[in-house]
Amino acid sequence: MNILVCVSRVPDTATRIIVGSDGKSIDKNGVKYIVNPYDEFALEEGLRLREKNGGSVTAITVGTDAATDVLRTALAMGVDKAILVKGDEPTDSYYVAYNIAKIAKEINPDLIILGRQSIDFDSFQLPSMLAEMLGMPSVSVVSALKIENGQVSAERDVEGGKETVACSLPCIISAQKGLNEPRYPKLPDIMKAKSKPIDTREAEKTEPKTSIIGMEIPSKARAGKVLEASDANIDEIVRLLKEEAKVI
Amino acid sequence: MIVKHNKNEFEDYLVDASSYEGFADELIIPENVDEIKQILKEATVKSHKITISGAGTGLTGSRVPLGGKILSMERFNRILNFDRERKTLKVESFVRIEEIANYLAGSGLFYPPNPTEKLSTIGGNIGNNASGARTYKYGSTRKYINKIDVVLPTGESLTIKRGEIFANGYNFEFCTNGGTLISFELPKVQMPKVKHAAGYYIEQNMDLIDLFIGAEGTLGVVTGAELQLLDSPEEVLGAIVFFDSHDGMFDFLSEIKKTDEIISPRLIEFFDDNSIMLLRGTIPHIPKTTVYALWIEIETSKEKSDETLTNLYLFTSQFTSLVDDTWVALNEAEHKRLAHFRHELPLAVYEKIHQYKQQKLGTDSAVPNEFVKEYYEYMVNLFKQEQLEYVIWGHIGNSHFHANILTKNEDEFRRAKDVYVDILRRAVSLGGTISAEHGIGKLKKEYLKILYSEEIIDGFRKIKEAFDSKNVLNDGNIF
Repeated sequence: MNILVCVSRVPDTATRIIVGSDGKSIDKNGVKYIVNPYDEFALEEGLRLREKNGGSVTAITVGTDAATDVLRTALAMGVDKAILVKGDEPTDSYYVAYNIAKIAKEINPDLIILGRQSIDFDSFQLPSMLAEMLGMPSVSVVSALKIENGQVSAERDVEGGKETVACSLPCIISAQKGLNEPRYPKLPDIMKAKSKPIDTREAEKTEPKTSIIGMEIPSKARAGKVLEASDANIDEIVRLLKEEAKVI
Repeated sequence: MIVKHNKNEFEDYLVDASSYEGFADELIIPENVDEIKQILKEATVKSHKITISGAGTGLTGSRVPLGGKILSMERFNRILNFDRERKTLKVESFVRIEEIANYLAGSGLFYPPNPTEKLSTIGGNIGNNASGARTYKYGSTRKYINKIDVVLPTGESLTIKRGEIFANGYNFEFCTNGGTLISFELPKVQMPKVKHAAGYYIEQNMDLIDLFIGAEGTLGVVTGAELQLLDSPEEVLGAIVFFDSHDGMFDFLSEIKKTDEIISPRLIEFFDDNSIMLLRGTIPHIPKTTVYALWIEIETSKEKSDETLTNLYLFTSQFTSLVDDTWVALNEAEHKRLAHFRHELPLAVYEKIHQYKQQKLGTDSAVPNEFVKEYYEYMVNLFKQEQLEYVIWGHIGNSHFHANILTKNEDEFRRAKDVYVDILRRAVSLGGTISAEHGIGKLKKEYLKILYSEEIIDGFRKIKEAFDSKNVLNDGNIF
């Protein structure tokens, strides 16, 4: 089975995000980057399927040279090949999908797996865009996956329960937390990954379908008000809930 | 100032993480230092007890009140000033360790002490001289406290800046901010030369600030502190190393301490075979033949990162055939996953204790490094002899173990308690301590007598009397 896993480079979840001086991007000073956590589930699932069915796993990312580090992590986890589609730092999902689709057409994977969303832009768009561009079925937010005799059975979390979706290969699966427990990269594999080749391709520029107008940090939760305990305050509480909090 | 008289409103303040429960007449939540002064002054005049309450994450009942009033510091929760030049952070005492770490994230500076309980407050950490995994390299809270603001039981304030007030031999004589003279003599104690948090910190010619750090709130209320920060290392390499033999792990441990220039870890944490068994429940992928595991962290740089990996690999391969299974973390998210390994354990143990419906018995003892293996074997042999269920983990870099005994009935509990005392006596006879980080509080007072003579404990009591003649503050802690 030929599996393509799409990975994204995102700011570390522990990073304190500050908006940059242009008001449209984050201040990258002191920011550390990681593999998008949902993509780790995708990588793990790809590796497990390969261990069971044979074949190969290729990791792909679209970005600048800096994105090489997430490919190294993927190699350390055990993928066979890594492709960097080198270009501008992505902010527009269409640009990413277009460039991944282009490579996918070339390597013809049986299965494409990716995280349900990247935790930086949270656009959720990539799986569906890829499906449209490649004419493949896609199942999103998958928390359990079974593939037997070319038939895919994918379990999804839905409001208040689970639903199971069937489709045929090739297809696109986006991974949800709970799909698996990603393996820890091991010491010798990390060392080996450092010297493995990375296949670098030039990204094709696309007309952006979306652009960022502005970015801001969410305002902090409003400070609470403490009223002294006395019956007289009940009227005051009602007034505040009505006039200030506007909840009644 | 908020005052609550109805017990229903302050039930949460009557316990800590040890599940020891106390009682109180009221809860006071002061909002500024003047209110604390007034509360303490009145308490001393009227001789009523005050118990200081932090986050309630302690394990020895030190914030649990035994009557009187609870003084909750929860409104003292502001970070006051970050001085990048001097690398200091001024905070009020209820600021939590986690808040400090988040505040400093990305600044290039960090506060080294990192107790496992991230919700603990800096005030609690000072009261306890808290440690953490990184204590192996950086030492305990003490080293990073430059200045504290204290309100004494008389209601007077005392600002102590490190390097200003020293004992003359074993005698202290100094004035409060208001000019009242305080003088007392220190008992001539030789503290164990290990990581240590049992009883007052005493040294010849010592700094007054060190007496307050680790005093478990018995001498005064710390309202704020200035913390010393350090430059963050450029890169940190974390690893879980799996061992398939007992000797392999202990040889690794003694040798890694000699390789300072090649691999110099900042923490070394231990997990015994029973810990591994418990963890298999929640963390798959643990190699099948694992006997023990160590979690280590090594500080390195971008430039040296590859070399550090190679050195760790070559070094580790001498001690375990599971070297190829070593898990590695190179960024914050991966470090958090490794730390998860450590944090899952106490939870799994609490679950078992809950299931068995018995009290927890956990050691906090430490011994000098040369006895670490001997001491570990001594504990394990005792547990096996008495057929007790146990789980051992801990800060093995500091030769400091948390051995948890899980008992299923009263009879087992009684036998476990004898074993527990035996283990503490052994630590003391090897030159170690009965408590390396949790402190004495109200639950470990009887064990302090294993370490110190009545005469020394009386000497501690005289110090307490010099600050708190009516014994109103944190009564029941240490004494």
